[in-house]
Amino acid sequence: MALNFQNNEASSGRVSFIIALAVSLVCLGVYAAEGANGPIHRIQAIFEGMAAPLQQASAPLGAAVEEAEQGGEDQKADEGTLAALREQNEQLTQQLTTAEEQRLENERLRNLLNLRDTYEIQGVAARVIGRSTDAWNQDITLDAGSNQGVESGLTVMGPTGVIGQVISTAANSCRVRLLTDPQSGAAAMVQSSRAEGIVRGSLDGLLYLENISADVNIQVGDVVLTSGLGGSYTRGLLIGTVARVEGSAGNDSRRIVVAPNGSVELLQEALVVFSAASDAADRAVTFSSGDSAGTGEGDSAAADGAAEGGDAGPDGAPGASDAGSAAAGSGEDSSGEGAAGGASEGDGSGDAGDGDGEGGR
Amino acid sequence: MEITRENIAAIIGAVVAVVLQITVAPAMALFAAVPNFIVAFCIVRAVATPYQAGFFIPLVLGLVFDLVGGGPVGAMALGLVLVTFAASRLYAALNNDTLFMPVAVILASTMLVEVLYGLVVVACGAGVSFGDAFLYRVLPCMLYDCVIGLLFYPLAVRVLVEKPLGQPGTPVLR
Repeated sequence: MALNFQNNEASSGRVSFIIALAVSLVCLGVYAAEGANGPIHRIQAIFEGMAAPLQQASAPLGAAVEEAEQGGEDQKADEGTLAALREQNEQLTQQLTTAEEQRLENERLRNLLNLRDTYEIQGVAARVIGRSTDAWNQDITLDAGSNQGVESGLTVMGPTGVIGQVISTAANSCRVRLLTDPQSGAAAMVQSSRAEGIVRGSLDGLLYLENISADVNIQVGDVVLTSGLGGSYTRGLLIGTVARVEGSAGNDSRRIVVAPNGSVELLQEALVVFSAASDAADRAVTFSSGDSAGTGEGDSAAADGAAEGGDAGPDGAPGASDAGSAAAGSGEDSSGEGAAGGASEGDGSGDAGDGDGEGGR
Repeated sequence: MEITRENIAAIIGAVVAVVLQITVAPAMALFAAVPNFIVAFCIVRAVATPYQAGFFIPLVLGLVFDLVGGGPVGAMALGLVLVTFAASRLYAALNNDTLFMPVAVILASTMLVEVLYGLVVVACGAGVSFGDAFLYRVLPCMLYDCVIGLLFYPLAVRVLVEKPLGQPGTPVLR
């Protein structure tokens, strides 16, 4: 009797194991086989929408953790560090007055130079309410969804440039796959040379510009924009600047690292782009010093650009450093010699890359 | 499923694991490693209650993780069902009343889940090689999950198990 009971129990355990295994395999198979609009993808989007309020509720926790980390670092400061900080404090105090003047000037410039105006962007602003719950997806959740007109595939911009693309939407939230995700792929072009390629994310957190023709001269500081090929990203929006070129022109195996224009970790708000000006790629943009990481060198040049005007570039494309004039609405093309604007002269022979855009898993 | 103290504790633990995964895990990310409370809970439960663990909770929690996280749906469910099955059987067979055995089984199982999940994600077209995936995601995540699993284990033995395994008179982890 006891033996029978044990046998029955073992048998039902085996059956439930096989059922569980079958269910998970069927889900996996259907998920892999269906398209982005398949039933399991839709269910996934619903669950993501349901989880969004929970993620939003945990936002203060993230801030508390960051504060705790900062507090821990402060506790470890030794006497030498304190002395250096006091000295630095004196210098900073002296600079404060000057900085305040510059801040006011910057604020005015920022009003002039913000992305929305420059690119004539139609879109909806949203707050970041959640981040990826696992290590495998680089994505964020925004508090704008289909009720606000957000659709899958739309480009998303941070305060300083493109950060990713909407991959799923719920009623009042959407999930954005960041450019740094290995599954991201944005058709891109180098502003100075108009050479086209694809910006891809990677697991190491860097952006790589791939499929650039070997004969194109790429220089550190060249500005990288979305090219709009394939229709996955809105054309002409700023992605970042070339941070490192491993290998030289003519070398097929060279690797081009792109510095995204701003830190996603610090991102609080984003803009979902419905449309932008058709000539956005020919417009220049720069940022006030507080915002921009990627075009830092261009910041100082921006003011110079406005004062100096500029020379018409061979392709009529303004460098990033000449935004002062663009933002002022002069409409002059001035390629200039700004660091971010590309030290290389454009050859106008950009090869078309195959923009593959966003591919759902 | 019978309504017993163990089952109720398991359900509450599962809900807590999901809530922690959605709310706390993103804030606890260390570089690229995001802790996985769901994996830790399922593995620890499989070791703490090897004869009662079953496959329903690993399956459901795995599916919830996949649905909320944006990964291939079914991948984590598959990994958890397979590994919790192996872990519970292994522990039931090898339990020798020492602390080493549950720790070893938890470590090995957690690593196996992350490796399996990494393999499925790569196979589903993550666009990266498994070498990169292992180095940048699987390895840091498995280490993080191991730590969380080991921290959870004493609590699980206390809460999930009505009567801990072992011979009468054996010192137990309480």
